Amino acid sequence: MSNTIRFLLLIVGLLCAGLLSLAVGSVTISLQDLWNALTGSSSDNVASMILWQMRIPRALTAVFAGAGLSVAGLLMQTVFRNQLAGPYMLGVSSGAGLGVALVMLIGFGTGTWFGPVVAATIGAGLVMTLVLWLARFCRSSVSLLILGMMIGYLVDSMVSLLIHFGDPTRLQAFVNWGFGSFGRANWSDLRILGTVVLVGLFLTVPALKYLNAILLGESAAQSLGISVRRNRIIALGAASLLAAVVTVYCGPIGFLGLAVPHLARGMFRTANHRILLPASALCGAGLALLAGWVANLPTQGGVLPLNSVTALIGVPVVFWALLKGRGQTDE
Amino acid sequence: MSEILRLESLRVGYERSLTAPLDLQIKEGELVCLVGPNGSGKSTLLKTIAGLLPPREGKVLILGNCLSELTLAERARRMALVLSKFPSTHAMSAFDSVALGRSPHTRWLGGLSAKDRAVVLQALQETDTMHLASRNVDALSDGERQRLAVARALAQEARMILLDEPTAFLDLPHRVGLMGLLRSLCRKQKVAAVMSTHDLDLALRLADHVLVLDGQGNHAYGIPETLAMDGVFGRVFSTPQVVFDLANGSFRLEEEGCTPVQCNIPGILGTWTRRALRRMGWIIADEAGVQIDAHEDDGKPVWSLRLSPRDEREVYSLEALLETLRNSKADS
Repeated sequence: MSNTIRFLLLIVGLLCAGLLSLAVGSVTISLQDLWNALTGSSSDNVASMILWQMRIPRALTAVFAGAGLSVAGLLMQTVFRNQLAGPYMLGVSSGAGLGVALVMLIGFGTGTWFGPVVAATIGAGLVMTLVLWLARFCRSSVSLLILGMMIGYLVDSMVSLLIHFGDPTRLQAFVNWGFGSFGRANWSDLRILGTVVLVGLFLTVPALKYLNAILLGESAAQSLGISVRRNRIIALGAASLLAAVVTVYCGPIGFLGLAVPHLARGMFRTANHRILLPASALCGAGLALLAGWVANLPTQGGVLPLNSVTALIGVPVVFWALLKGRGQTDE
Repeated sequence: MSEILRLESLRVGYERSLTAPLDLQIKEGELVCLVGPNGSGKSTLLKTIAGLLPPREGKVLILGNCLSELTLAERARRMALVLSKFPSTHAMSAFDSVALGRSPHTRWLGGLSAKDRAVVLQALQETDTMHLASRNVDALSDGERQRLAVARALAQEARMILLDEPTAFLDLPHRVGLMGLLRSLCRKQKVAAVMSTHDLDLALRLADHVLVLDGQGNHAYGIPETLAMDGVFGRVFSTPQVVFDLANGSFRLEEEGCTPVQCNIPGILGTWTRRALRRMGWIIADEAGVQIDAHEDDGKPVWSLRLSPRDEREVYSLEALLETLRNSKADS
């Protein structure tokens, strides 16, 4: 099976997931109505409103969030050379969350569209720098993982302090944000999310050679004529930006960033980032669509928490990676 | 023969200099082995030559240019580095791992042209790894991975290959194989190689030149035989227990109360008899009280052993010979 066919399969899968999340839900919309609503020739105003006001923004949010988190996870796994790295696992999402909390609870930079994005990116970047610094001292990927989780707890406890001292009138919105959802972004949010995710993805393009070479180790990459320091800043900067902007609009979402790169590697059987990067983006977008769709299936208790759905997908992949990579993840 | 690498008054080290100023010139086709005790600065010197560490003093010139006047990519087109361990790479194929050697030649996205592919295939051919091309690197043996690392250096089309203990994790046949591969590449491809190694024995047999770092900041450079005769290896590596045997060109365990023995056996039988005697702590001497001869009886060797003018006996196996000698030593 050639890579072209694999990519076609991924795209078909993504389209199917998109169709599913648009058509099936608490109200089922027939393909005919769906087509009419999308082309604007609909006479059914309810279907049209459900689609344009709820399902299409939710689906697009899921696509951008899934692609962004998965690429962020791939970048982190490669740069840290650790199969268990990911924005959520190493506390980068928590760092972004601290930025969001400062904005939402204390009120720094509210009223501007970029306030939360900038605050979250700074938070994510700070945690990323801290993890990068700590990674120099720990050889085992599992201990780096534990350190990252501890940093995550530390940052989360700072957020709890902010909740304690923060403005009670703003609290409910922040608590809702913390549950994670693809359903909150409106069209103007989506424009920002989409633009920043695309910028983050394109930022990684000049680092492609580095990403492939760094798998051999830092000395080896440098001896292949690649500037390790500069490219590491680009790659981790892009990962921070992607994780941050997704966290701002969707809340902290676990496991997608960690699991999807493994699925992409398993599907394409390669370590070449020219293939892995688009594959992770497509695969992540599709999985996020499915997870968002499952979370929004009509249940008695309303909407399911998105994080429990992503954990259902992600945790088995972590187990698989841990057991498969035994003795290999540690150098 | 043209010069590939020149070191001018080079001192290397992190906080302090590990070496006295080093001046040497390496020409194409040469395989230079870098030996010395742990901590003598072998890796530091290689890293400095590779440009991963700044020199404390002096200069490294590669093909006539000082490292500091070359960009990273220009350096990489002239010089390749092979490390002792090929790290785990998730799911990289052997072909891709060698193709990474094209990095300093490809454009910014790193795509391979037809020429790049041809060079990679040629490198796989030269290192006898073509049959591994589509395999996952993580699934290969250490010996196969190190051949791939050398193939990557060839794909880099570098004139100088630096190797930091490339044989450290290999068993003896793979060690010999890798060193043999390196030597033939140096001869055929007109490249030069500098490799650090703990395998002094192989270095003495295969290297064109040996650079010895003694761990006290001194060094010696020359062809292996001259260094051996000058007693350099004995000085640097001998301990009270292990001594460098000049007659034999290798190290042996020094044991208490060594007794000389005279062995008059020619040919292969003599070589292995002497080897067995040395292993048991005897010293082979030109004249000694204890003498060993051999003759053939019915196509089988018979050893005659003269322990003293009055005590002569015959034994029918090497093991019995050693047994007899051990008993006679215990008696006296």
